[in-house]
Amino acid sequence: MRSSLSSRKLFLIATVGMLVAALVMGLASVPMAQTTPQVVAYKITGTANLSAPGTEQFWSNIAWDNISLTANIPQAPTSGITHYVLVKAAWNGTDLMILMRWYAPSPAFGAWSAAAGALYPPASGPGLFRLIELTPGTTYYMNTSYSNYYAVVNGVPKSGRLILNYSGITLPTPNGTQIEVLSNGTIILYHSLRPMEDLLYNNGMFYGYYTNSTWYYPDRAAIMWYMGTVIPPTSDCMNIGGKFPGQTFDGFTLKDAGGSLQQQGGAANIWMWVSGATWANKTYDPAFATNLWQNESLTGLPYVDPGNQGFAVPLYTNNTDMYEVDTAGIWYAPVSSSGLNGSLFFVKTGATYSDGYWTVEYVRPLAVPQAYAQWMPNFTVGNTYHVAFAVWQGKLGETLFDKSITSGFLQFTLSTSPPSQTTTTTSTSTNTTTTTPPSSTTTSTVSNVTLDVTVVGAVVAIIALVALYVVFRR
Amino acid sequence: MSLRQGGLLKLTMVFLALGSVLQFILQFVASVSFLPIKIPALPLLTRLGEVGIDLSFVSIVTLSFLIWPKVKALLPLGLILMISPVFTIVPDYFASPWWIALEVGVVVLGIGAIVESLLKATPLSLLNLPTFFMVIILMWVALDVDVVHSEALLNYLALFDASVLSFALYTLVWKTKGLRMRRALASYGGAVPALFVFLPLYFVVSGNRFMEIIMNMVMPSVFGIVFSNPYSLPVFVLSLSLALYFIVALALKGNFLASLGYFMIVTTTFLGVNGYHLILYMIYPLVGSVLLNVGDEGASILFKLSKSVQR
Repeated sequence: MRSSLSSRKLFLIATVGMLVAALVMGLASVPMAQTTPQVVAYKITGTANLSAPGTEQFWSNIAWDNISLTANIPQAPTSGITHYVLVKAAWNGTDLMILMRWYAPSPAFGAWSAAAGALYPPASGPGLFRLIELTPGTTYYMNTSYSNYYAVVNGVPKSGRLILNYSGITLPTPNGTQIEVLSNGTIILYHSLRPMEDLLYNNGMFYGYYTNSTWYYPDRAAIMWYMGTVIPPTSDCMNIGGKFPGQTFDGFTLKDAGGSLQQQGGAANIWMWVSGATWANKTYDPAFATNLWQNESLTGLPYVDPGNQGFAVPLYTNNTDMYEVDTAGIWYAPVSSSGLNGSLFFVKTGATYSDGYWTVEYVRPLAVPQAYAQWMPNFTVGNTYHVAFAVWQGKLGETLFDKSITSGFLQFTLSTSPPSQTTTTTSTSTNTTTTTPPSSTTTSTVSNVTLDVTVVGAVVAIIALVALYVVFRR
Repeated sequence: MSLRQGGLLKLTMVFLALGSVLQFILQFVASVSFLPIKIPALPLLTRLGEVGIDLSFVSIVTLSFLIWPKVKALLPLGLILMISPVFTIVPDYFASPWWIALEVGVVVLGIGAIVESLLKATPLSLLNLPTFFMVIILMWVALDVDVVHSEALLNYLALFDASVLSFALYTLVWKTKGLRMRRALASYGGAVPALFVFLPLYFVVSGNRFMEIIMNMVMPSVFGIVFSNPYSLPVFVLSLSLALYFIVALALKGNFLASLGYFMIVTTTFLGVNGYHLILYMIYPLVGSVLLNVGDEGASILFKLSKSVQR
């Protein structure tokens, strides 16, 4: 009886104890220990040399982070072309430096940015305005009851409204829609507007952007820094939508703005490098070839790119929309109508293409001016940041929301330690896809300290296990 | 195990089950909250999910201390988890190389716990080898990301499918002799509603491309899994439905520990693709694997091995 009573007491105490412990942890917001950050910026001595990115001495002591990328639109064959991106990070007390390198068999030299071209037509290049390949099996017909509508099919104007049909799902298109039907039945939609992309995507008709030898998009690379309040963020995806939330387009209301962040309560700063607009290369970048960023009257900004060097467009996205962190709004709506002096060129870049690889180096001061702080993170030692990477290969059809991205945010931190000596191992892998080299060699470097602590961790754990088994062998 | 410990273990399991379900709800609602659908009582579900994480933390620590005499490797694992929040006081603790040593230690101890519990389990547990293989592979993937900073892109769905099939077989074979036919049939029948938690999604994504596209982003966001083939989503949803069905069926058959263990594995193991982010999430599938092994009674593999050696 007594034993039963004490058992009950113990049971009650344990129940209450566990509940109270969980409650206290919840109320006191006791932080759970996190794992090692996946991307670390090491403390180095030296400065970036953006004219020869990646060649600075300090990079040789830092190991590459090999980060897998995945398709942003899983079903589109033009999405997820870049399978991995190599990343290094360093800081020197004043600047943060990020080095990205990825395999790109067909660099989009000379491709231009529509936004930059719109400012100044000479800053343009090959045909670029978006051509969308519709999902195989999509057909069309003309609904002639729309007497005031017309469409252009294979260059021939036809009266009526063009209706797309995929698996019984029909999508009426706007007046003046232009398509080309290839010999195999594939439909190419010309001059699509952003809301049209949303409608095609949501009706299962978006198959990818169409390219050929003279019609392609610029290469791009972007780094996204999470700035939201919900930690940890679960998704780095962005919404497909209209030019602004609630846009009414041809009878459809689009809930989200294209580029707005899906993560509930989320916001992020993006550094976007564009080969046809922000690459300081007067031969292959039409914007730099025409000195666009030195012309205040064209950009509408009260400042120019200091030194006429490369940069990354600073963007800001939240649940509402995607914005540009400057007052001109060349690519997206500006976050502010005044102030922000110098913000467009705040993130500097240097880029080179050689041996089939793009190498892009980003440099930005750790601290941002107070005026920018709402849209760009300050980087300080001791904090964990969440970062995501994206790459576009424009000649292979990637542009806008069609890209290769990290499957989720990775943790990033500044280490006060310098990079240690590294051990280099070389591995060779063979890929069967046509968009990657038939045989690629990846060199990965692991610091000796990392190797040491890995071994120490394993040995200590094994000793602990053996000791437990020996001492408590019964 | 004494009566007291037995009662305490059951209580801990109840709390762990509750915590696991609540934290999974958090994983799910956080990922679908951006969809144009109204989730009823979203703030409440989010709060409950956060409580679930804390409850899981307390339960796993308690569980480790309760069953360490049976699986000794759980003792250091429970200790590490218990003191892990203390490290957060140390500035920049996660950037220290010694934190890598701790993570490696957790994985080694966890693998030790899986092997130890497997040797002490009945031979039936050998059916779950594909699951243990999956858990260990994901641990390697997580260390690959956290330590070497290199993400591995594997066919995770194949690993998951092999695991689900083996778990289904384990459920079907478990206590085929010791259980009355009526109880067994009631278990399989009673678990049918669990099948319909995810199965409707299969029909939705198979016949609706829009939902397929949406769920292609949602499911990896919830579970952490990355599809090497983008058209794999329906197969994953189907596998998930089957996994949940057999989890509930096994619990109704009477092996609550193994069913909870497998639920813990399914909901957290693929978070390893991005390095788990929390030590708790790293320990979750390891403890789940141990529970898969300790739920059965009978002569252990070790005992049978020693007998055969004696002969």
